[in-house]
Amino acid sequence: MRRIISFISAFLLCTWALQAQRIVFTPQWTPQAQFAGYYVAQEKGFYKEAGVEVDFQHPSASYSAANRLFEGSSDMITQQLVQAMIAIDRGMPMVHVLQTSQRNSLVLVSKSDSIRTIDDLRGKKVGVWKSGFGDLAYIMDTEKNLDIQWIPFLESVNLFLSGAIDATLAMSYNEYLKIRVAGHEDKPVIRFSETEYNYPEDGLYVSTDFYQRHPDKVKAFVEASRKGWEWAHEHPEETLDIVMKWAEKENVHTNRIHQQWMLEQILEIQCKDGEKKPSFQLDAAKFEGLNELLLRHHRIHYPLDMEKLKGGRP
Amino acid sequence: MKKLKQMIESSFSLRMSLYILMMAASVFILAFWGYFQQARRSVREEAMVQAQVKLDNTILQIDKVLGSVETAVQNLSWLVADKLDYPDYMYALTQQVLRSNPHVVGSAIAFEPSYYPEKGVLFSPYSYRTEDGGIRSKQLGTEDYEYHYMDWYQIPKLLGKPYWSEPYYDDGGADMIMTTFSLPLYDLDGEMYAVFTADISLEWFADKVNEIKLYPNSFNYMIGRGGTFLVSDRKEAILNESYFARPLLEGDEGMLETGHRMINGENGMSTFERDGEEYYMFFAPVKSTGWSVCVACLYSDVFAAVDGMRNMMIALSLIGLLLLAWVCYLTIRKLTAPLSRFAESATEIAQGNFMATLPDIHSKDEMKTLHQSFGYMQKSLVDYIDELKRTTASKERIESELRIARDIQMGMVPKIFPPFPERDDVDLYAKLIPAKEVGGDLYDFFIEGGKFYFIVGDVSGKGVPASLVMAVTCRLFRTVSAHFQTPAEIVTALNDALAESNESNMFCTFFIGILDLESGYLQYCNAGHNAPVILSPSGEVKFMEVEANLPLGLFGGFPYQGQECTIEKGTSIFLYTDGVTEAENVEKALYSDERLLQQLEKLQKETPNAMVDGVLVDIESHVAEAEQSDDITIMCLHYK
Repeated sequence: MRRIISFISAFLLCTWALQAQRIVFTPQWTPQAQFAGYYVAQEKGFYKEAGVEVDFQHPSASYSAANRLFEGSSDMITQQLVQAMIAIDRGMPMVHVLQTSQRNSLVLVSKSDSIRTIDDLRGKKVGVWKSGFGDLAYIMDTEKNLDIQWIPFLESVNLFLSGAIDATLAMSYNEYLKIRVAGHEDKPVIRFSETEYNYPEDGLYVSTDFYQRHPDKVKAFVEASRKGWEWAHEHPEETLDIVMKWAEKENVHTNRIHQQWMLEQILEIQCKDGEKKPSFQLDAAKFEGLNELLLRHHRIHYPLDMEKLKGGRP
Repeated sequence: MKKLKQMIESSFSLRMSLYILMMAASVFILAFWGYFQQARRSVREEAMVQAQVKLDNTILQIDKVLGSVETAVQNLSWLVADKLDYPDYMYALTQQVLRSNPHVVGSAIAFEPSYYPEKGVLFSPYSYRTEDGGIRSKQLGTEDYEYHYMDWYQIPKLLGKPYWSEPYYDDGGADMIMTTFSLPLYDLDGEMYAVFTADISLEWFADKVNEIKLYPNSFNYMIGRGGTFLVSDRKEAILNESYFARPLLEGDEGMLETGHRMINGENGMSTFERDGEEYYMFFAPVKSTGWSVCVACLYSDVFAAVDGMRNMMIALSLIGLLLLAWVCYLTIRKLTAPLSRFAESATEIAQGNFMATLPDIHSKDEMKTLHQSFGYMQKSLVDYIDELKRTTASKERIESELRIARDIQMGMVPKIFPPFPERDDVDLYAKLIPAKEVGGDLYDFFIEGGKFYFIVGDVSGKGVPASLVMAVTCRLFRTVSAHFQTPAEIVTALNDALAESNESNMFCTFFIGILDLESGYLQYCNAGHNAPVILSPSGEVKFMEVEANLPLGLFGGFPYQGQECTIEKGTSIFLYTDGVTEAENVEKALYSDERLLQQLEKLQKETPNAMVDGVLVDIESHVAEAEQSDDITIMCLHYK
């Protein structure tokens, strides 16, 4: 009897230990080249080498990455900086541990040549994701008194393609590519990266709780992820293979060419203007600029501290 | 190769056959090429028509179904307005759509948010078919399915007109691609209050499109408004890939343009390449949905019949041409066979056998003529050769006689120089060069009793007659000179003797001189001869002053006048016949007296021998290539 008890307790101990080691990682969306570096790190064994066991769990329309982190079903997520700052301001307990994007990927694609500048958008119907990502565009609308009529869409670009709206917001690495490949390759486009709203986007965030309990694991995960991204920069073809493998595994309807273009765009915006290698650092000036902008437009209530955001104690 | 070339060059029939073959082949290639181009054009046009007919037919069927769905919804839409006060009645209405049209798999009437406050924010009665063939209804709008953000709701609302959605994977059920027809409904104020929809599966359309089978390897596809593949032989491309992706990636402008034509609702044709094969692509639009149906056919399939015929024609023509060449070769060889036998006969004739046998010719064509000509030639050759033999024999005899006559004539003039090696008071050199075997020129000299007799003469005419008169004159001179003392007497006697029996009226110019070797006293008489040149020791070179008188043999009894002078020691006298001064070159220019004097001036210090040879060399250089027209005689004496 004692033997059985000791066996069971040993087993429980083991499972607890294993569970403690496992990191549940959730990217913002289903597998695509936007998260290539993480899949690479997993596939090439970088996480394992670093001593972390990573479990990829993807979000759904009704259960977003942020929700998962908030409810504790994920430890690590990717988020755009603006969304992350707003969430933290509202009390989301998470810490910024890696900045992958350096440039803004938002673009405004218009239906006709008559809309070529931001001012041309005045009073127009413009598509925006129902799920978010439109904050910078709303701020721009307010700041420039554009009086844009925002039309929310779920995920397809059909609203734009059908001609029902005058312009649409799009990610340069995703919806914009879909529009181009739908026979609208020469539509006029306004890039946020070329405006004063060029703020970095994707980064890696960890729940404060996990960060405090497993600082080593977090560090190991971040290093391995970074290594994954660096590898992706050097091996785009193999990276694409890995992305496609994950897309297939998760039953994502996509195609290689789209993912290839997406990867090219993603890798490009990971480098600052004029640089050829990603820095993986959050630019302090950009952060402060965004901090001030969000505060001014009441997206956040108190200015955020960069060191605090990164988990330090000011 | 070299051997083949040699064979062609040496065989007329082979060469001729090759020419004919080449001509025939050129004509064939030209004709065939023209025909083939025309045939391909016709086939292409035929293929286009056939493809268009098939496409139109398919699209007609698709349009019919789409139209029936639109009608089903539109026909019931008035009931929605009519029963607006009974929201639950809408379930029955959606069921009615499914019942009225078997293609419809689902139907909804989606109301604007909070349209019926008692039904909550989202209210959308929806009916669908169950797996067992029944029809079931439910309310569609939930917190997780905010239908008013869906394309099928938003787009017709924003556009303000009915809309066929882009096909999508049905979330709820089996792997089914659906498209939704949405009809926005408006109240009396023009406000949209609901969207009435009907869903249909794309399966039936896909089957219709795939039914088109133009050629064994043709394949079909259908693309949506944005180029997305709706139907394709590559399953993985359906709803995942866009037609435009590859052309964009590869920068294929032609494919891009075709794509734009397709999504712009055009009918047409284009070409493209896939896996190294060329394809024709025919496309036509489904107007109501903005789809484009496309049939791709392999070039080789479209032209299979023409290409097969082409191959057969080439094979047949090759056999025909080879047969033609073979027949030509045999025929020409047969026709020209006598030619080689004629050639053999000709060779035999050339070798001297004039009676060589000629080939037998039985035809009545050019070969017969050739045979007759050969026979005639043989006969003529024999006759001619006989004649030639005779002529040659007689000519040889005459030539031999002339040779002897020449020897005799040359024997008449002294030819040993120096003639008087024992004497130191006179030296002499002379030369006679007849224009023909024998000539009419003469010279002679001798010393008799301290007097030196010398003559030079020239009989009119040339050849044998002149030579005979010359011989007579020479003999006469020797005889007469023994009986008379002075040159004039000698000349007179000679003239009389010659004139006496001169029936042929021949005459002879003549010069005689008698030099007293002791005193230098010179008597001379000229009978129509060229004046000799006298070269004094003082260096003076001039013609001697001579009476002209008449030549010998013309008038008997003519009184010839003698002349006399005394010459100093060291004087040379140069005598010659008109063959010297009248020697002609090819331009008919004469050697002339002047040139003779000039030459002699140059040569005056020379010995007689050298002087004579010097003048002869100069004459030769003047005459050059021209033939010698007259006898040449030169005598030069030097008084020492």
